[in-house]
Amino acid sequence: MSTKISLLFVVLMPLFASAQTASKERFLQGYADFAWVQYSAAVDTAKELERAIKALTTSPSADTLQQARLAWTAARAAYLPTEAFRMANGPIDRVGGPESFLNAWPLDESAIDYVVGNTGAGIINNVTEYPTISAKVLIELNEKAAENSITTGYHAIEFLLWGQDLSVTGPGERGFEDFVIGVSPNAERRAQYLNVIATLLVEHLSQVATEWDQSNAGVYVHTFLQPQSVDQQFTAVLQGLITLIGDELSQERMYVALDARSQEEEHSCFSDQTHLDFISDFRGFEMLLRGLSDGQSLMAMLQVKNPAMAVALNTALDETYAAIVAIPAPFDQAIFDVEGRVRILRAVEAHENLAELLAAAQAELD
Amino acid sequence: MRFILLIVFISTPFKVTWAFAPASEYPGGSGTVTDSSPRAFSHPLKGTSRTERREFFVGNSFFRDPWVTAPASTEARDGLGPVYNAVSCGSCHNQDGRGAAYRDHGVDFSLIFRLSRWNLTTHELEDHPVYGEQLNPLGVGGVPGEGSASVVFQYIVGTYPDGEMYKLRRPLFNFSALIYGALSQGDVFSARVAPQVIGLGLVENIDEVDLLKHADEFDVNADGISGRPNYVTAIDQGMSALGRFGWKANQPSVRQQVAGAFLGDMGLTSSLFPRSTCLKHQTECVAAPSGGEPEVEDLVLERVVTYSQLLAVPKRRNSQDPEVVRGSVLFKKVSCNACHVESHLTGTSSRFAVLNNQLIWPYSDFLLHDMGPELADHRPDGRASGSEWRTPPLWGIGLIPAVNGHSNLLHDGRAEDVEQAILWHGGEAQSSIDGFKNLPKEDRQALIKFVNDL
Repeated sequence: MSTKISLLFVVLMPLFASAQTASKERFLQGYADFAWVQYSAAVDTAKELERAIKALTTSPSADTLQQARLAWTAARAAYLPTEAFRMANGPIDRVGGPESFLNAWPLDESAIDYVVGNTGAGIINNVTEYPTISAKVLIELNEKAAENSITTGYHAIEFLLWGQDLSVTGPGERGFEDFVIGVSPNAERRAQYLNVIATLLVEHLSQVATEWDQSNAGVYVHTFLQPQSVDQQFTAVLQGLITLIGDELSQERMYVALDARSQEEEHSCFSDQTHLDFISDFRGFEMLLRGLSDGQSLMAMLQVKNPAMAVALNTALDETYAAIVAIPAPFDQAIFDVEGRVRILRAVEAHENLAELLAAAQAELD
Repeated sequence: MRFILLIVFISTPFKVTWAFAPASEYPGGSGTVTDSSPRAFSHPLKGTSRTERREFFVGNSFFRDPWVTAPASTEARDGLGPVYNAVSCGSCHNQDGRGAAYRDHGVDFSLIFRLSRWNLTTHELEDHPVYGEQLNPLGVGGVPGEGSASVVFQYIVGTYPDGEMYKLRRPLFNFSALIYGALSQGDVFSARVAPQVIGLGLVENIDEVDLLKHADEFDVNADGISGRPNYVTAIDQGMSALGRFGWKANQPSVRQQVAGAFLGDMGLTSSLFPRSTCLKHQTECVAAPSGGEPEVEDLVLERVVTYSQLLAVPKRRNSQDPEVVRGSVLFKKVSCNACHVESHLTGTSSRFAVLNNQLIWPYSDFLLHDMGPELADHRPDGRASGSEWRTPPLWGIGLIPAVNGHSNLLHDGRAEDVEQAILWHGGEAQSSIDGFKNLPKEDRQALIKFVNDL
């Protein structure tokens, strides 16, 4: 743990790059190093979450539930920056990658557990069809019945820790009693379910982290850094960032909820922490765009090739950050509020501007 | 210079005047996108404006995410069923691609069955009086599904003139658990799979005159190929219009195609199709709660239509590969392009600038052709006879394996790859098929490689 934190600092500290050394190769090297550091942090925080969930289900109380929720929040904050590595055909979401087991949404709560109006809903309460709750069973069921029948990952854990969000002002209000055997029906199965998916979370994240660890032989990072595929990887990586920022974040996670005024489009809807998710995602792509040192950021490349564009990128990042921190919480209420809607739209536009600028940068650097 | 020309001349087995048009590398015109990953079919056309892109992504969420049983707290998305085939458009058009039709030796839900019955008095084909126009195997809580289909494959072995053997599979369907009783004499069904949904807005924007230019209903030019337009009712205009979409060209517009699929496949009413598919005697179906009138609100319908219109066509991967180039020449040599017409120019009147004035390469005339007895479903549809099918566009065909993990083709997914799909062609395509079969093996492979590059 401590070595990883110190590594993170090494990467974080120097904010501006020495422009002379900037190159596609250096950018990809920085990308790969940061991927390993950040996925490792995601693994470590997921292990903390696994431990906290074990504590909750061993001795359910208001306190152990609160500790588990805090551990979930910390795990999210470590995972979301790694979304910067998505959509580039890397270990997270290439064919066979575990992304759909980690962060799929929106999620149909009633596929997992009871919901208002249906106390017998979900795998947890369906003893006849699913007598055993195991990793194998849940993996098989993920996205099987429909794309929103999500059985594993952060949002499934979130639902089991918070419950349905039926409150206007706050998050879901599941009580620790749900895990007390003899008090809540199927409490034992609920506890089993939660432990299984916490362990799966660690396994799936470890699987990705391993691929970015250069000390392992025969893993993805070596293919990624092959000299002959520099141009191809650079294009894929930038395309991934453009898709994440311009499609996934600005559209799928913001504009759709805004336009459809639809709470179920919210990303972390049970915990009401969607506004924090946006910031964590920002931290990830910001690192690649202007955070890394020694000519490893995109900014460093632009400073050599087109200084005006480098300045524009800096401004666009500042504006994006300002726009997302201005979104009022909770997000599911902001989409109905006049001022909230204006601010969300501003954040949508800021991400769109950034994505367009990155497309221009890609053309400039190709 | 002389040297280069010489190489070209030697490396091709017959005289080529370099007929290959590089523009076809960008099949969707200027909006063509570059992606050969599993997401290849899922992008908006390049150059789509910001406002349009936003509408596109809202449409995407209603296309992809599941609809739920009414009443539900998720009001925008309720009204599924009472009977249905799938819970979302994206269930069958997975990643905007093509349904597999078969899974684990059974029928996959991406394969639907249209039903009709011959009226023995009037000798007209009518929607099925007991089950309705489509078999819906699933029902929401308390409403039984109508029945399910199973398949047995009959394998056929054939031989090319050069002695190479090939194998085809013919699906034979059986229905079981039919809740209103077995199908009877005079009943006909047609199995149809969900195709990839790319480039639809471009197809919609081809000038009607341009399409009709390729029609030759009475085969005046005596090439054995007729090419007939289907004319169907444009419901919003209350008049007859040229059919462009669907396996038998039975839908005139993307909007009507989308609204028709919402109703037929998911049981969702819209302002275009306001009435539920439940028939009077289907008691549980009639009694089930509605998700609003209509269930698909107009705004949502428009967003999904916009989404479908703006889905881009991906760029070709290897259009400069010599074997692919050779295949493109052979494609013409055996006259595949008599129906799979290479290119069209789109019109100028779409509200989306990216759809206007585009030279596109769908490889289709979008007209009806008799495909012979083997492919016939014996179920006329509008003006389409029981053996006619619309020429399906070929763009994106080579990316189906990347997007959907299979290469099942034709209306019922019987062909397991491009070669088998070619071999199933009959009727008006007979001379082309004979031409294909008589090609030397390396030429057949080049032609297939070309099609897989589209």
